[in-house]
Amino acid sequence: MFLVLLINVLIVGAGYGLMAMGFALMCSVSPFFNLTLGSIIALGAYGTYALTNLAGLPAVFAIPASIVLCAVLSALLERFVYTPFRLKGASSMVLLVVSLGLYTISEAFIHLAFGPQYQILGGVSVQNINFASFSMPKVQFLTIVADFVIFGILNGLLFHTFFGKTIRAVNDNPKLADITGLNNNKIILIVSAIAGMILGLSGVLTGFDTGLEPTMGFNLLFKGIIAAIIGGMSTMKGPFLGAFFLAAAENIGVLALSSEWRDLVAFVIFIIFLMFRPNGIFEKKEK
Amino acid sequence: MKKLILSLCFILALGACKEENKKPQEKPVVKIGAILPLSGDLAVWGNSEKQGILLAQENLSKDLKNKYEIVFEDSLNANKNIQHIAQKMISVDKVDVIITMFDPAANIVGPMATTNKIIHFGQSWFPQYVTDKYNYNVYADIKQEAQLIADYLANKGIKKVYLFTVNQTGFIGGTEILKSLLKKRDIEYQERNFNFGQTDFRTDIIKAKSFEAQAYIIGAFAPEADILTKQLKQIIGQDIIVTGLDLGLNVANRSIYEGSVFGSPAIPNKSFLNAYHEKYKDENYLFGATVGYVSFNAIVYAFENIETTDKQVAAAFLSSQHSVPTIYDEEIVKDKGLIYIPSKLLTIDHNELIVFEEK
Repeated sequence: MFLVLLINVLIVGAGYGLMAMGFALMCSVSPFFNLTLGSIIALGAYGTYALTNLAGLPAVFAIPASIVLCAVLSALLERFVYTPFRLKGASSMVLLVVSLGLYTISEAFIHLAFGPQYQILGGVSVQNINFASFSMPKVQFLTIVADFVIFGILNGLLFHTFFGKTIRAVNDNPKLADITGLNNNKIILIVSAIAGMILGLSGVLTGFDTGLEPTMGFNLLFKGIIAAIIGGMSTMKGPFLGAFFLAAAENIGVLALSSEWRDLVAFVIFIIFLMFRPNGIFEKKEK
Repeated sequence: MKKLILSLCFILALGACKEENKKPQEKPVVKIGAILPLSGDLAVWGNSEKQGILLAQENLSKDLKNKYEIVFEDSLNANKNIQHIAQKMISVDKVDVIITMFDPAANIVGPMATTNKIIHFGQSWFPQYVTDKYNYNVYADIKQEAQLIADYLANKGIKKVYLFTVNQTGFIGGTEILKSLLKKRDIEYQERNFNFGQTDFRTDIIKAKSFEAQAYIIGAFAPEADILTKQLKQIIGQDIIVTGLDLGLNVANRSIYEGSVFGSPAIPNKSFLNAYHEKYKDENYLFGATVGYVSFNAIVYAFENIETTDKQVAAAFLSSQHSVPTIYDEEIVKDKGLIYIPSKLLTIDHNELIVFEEK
């Protein structure tokens, strides 16, 4: 039972991890609760659904196309919505309300375009990968692989490249970064496109694993946000490991009680962290 | 001058009367308000019922003596909204009938219908609101569905089952009935509840696996039921016995349930299915549509069989009937205010939803 539970934590944690890393990356340059990231997750899933199930394209083309679409939408939102607001000096609260409005519009649009019903993405989800004594659906295995690969890439990008340094500079002190000649808006635009790709990918994988419905983006993003806050957002290690921590706590809670208390467990941990360790497990030490 | 003015007035009045006579005689209007969850988690059911109502309206004969207008409102399945919307429908839209969906809505609007003397059609497994000639409940009989499942399991020689039930008043009540029937048949059970919107059941399944159940009973609709069944088959095996309460007509992806058997509302007749498929190109989530269709036609049946459009006369007529127009191969029985959609044991065979005995 322990091994199966561990695998389940890996599967769930990997799913949360992708969303948490996408959210944390976006927050590193644009620090507010951007709910339109939930729309990007849903776009990844519904874009793939439209291209495969409706347009009849093979998944191998549809998935990358949807992910690119997510990157483009994320960058466009940043360029034409949030940057103008930011330049006008809008507070995080204003940006949150704007993102809530846009999220509501996007959810209504999905509802109109695809209907309210639950849809499924076929193919990858039904194929199993067999290990010694157990098997796992291919899509869940891919989620775990994607989570680890993206963690590695983001870690490398942020701490071993010049571009990563510029992202961290904008994160640490945007005004100073601007004065030293960095093009903040361009950096934010590129980061939002990368975050869009990660979130789009998480939407696609979730779509293949558990299906699609118009409200999926918000529900998924919320767990990603909790995982990012638990882990801490100063490095990618925080959201990556925070997601596994959250998944482990939830699943132990489900095992001990029942799955109807899953969200309760998540929110209790969330509140405890907000109260006693608001910067997360991997809190960056102030100099 | 006075004579001239009077003559002019007379001519104008005559002209106006003539103009009035030229107009075709307008049919009396029966106004129906439908308060359905058209957005949010239950939107799929609300929209399914809306589709059923619209199809019924479209299929009305041109020769009817009344015109039937519908006002749709989104309840969001929130108690506060339902009460406000119902009040607005009664006082502003002046509806003659209100249709609601599921438990909170039906039990909130029921007493309002009685007070305001309008007809109300709800949809609930536990319709406490059906107390007078104004309130009607259209649903399958949950006791009958539970009986069908319990008998099916007993006949298969099953001794241990595991129940997964969504936290919803109707399903929890239905599961309680089923549990008492299982007990009577010496079938041991364990159970777990879960919330709407849950997509990960794997740890629950690990727990269920340790009970070594021979069959799994799902008390939920799609998408939760679809995801749970998929994960059950992934973790425990493709050959497990999965059955469900009220699920047959309410699955989103039939292939997941291949071989499963459900205690379910019956499949409507071919003529309904063809019309529905032609209009909406869809065969899933049929139950909401059938309830909408049956409710609307029962309302039309009542108002067409009385001389006026008086709600009280229509209510009295409806309460005196023992059946309503059907879209099944059998009669839709009405017992006081309870309109029973027939219950059947259904199964999915090669992606087709069929009656279990016909397999």
